[in-house]
Amino acid sequence: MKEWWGTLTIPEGEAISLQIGPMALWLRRQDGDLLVGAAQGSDAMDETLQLASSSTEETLPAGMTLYRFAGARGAVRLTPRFADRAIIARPEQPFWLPPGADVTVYISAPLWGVVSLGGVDVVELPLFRPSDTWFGPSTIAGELCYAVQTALGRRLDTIPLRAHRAITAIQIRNRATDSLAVQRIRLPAGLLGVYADDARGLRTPGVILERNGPTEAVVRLESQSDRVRLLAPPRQADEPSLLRAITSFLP
Amino acid sequence: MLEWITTIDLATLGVTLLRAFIIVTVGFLGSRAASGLVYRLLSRDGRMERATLARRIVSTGVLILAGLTAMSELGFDLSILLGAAGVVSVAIGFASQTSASNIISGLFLIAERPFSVGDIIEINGQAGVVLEVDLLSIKLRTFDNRFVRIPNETVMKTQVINLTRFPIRRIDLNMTVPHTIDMPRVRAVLFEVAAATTLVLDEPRPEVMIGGFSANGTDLLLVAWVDRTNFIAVKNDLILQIHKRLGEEKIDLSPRQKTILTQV
Repeated sequence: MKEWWGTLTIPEGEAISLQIGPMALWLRRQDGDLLVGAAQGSDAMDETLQLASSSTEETLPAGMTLYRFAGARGAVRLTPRFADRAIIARPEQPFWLPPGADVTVYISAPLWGVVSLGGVDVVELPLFRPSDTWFGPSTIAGELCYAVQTALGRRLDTIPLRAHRAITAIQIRNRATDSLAVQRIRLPAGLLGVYADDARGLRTPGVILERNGPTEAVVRLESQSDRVRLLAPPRQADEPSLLRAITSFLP
Repeated sequence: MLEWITTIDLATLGVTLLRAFIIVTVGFLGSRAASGLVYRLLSRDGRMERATLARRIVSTGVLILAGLTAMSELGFDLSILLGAAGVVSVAIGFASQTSASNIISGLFLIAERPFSVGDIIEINGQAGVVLEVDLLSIKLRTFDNRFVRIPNETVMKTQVINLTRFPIRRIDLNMTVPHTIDMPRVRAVLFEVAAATTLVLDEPRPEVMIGGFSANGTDLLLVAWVDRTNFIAVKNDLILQIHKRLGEEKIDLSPRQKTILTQV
């Protein structure tokens, strides 16, 4: 996958444009200011990748939202970052995990693009804004999350590589004495950094969800191999070890 | 009383007045400091109404204490004052039953916390943001920027709806469709619009409920959940998108013509 992230060279008075999946970006330095234009398309699975190139548009292209940063000095960098809320992934077809069984599923979730100026983050935009959803036992208790519309692939090679999405391997281990109905999976996105894997595109650390009892689950992260490069650290340092990572809402 | 006046001299009076003045001044400054400290300590957990009430109690208490001390310094016999206060308080008590009721209601409101400062509530048809929860009343700012004062006694006796207590809210959109309409198509359009709206929660899932048959058609109710901070924006957006999609699908929801026959 071509690298759309990194330092962007934008001479004063000139503009560049790039497209990362459904997100079209336009950046221009003008009178010492940095202008950032962004427009998001409607196709969550858009595979377009157009790297930064000179743009002939001297003014904000139509349909874009403008962000203007006055007195902009320093290098402009574009970095991928994972979601700012937990992600709920639903399998197309819920399945059961018998006691003692393990399964690994792969999901791809949209990334956020962070524009930084002189090392300081100035604007953060979802490359594709996922739908909101609620995760909790009732409408009173729970949390707002993002819903990812993606098939839970059982093989990594079945997940297409897309520039605006990162792949996460989730290993579910059922150590309880009863079967687990997997209807939705909560991915603790705040704990996941973004890595570049030359062979497999953008990835996050793998997640291990271990169910030890009817309402007891533990989340662990896999350590990363040396062959991947860290592009963005996790947003959070830690979450409570006992998480509602796997939910089985039995009728 | 007259003996008291004739036994003092001016120098002593001056010193006494000065001491009383210092006591009052120290009391005033002390009340500000003490009440400010109490407010800062109690407001850390965000319960502003409790912090405000405590600040006022501490401030008033310290000022009364300073005032009584100054009066004692000036030579007033406080037992006489307290005796008179007892009589006055009985008279005031009869006259201020409503205020006392409001104060007690206010304490219950602070303890029960049906709402907090910053919440949006609806009471007796008035909706607004809670600005203060005081001993006697609560204060609201309505959405058209009016100031509303509601006695605590009224709040205790009335149904209060807290619109911002829970993180998510449900949007209900009622519509009546003519009996002759293609119902599955209409339902499909409503579901598609809800699904295409990013800020509508995937779960709880949007639903299209059929209410029943009326004289004008079939009643439908689209329910969709949103983050409560997006309630108004998403409701407006849903209505606009539904209107647009129904137009694109050439689905006409206007009531059909009725023919009324009369016999003369």
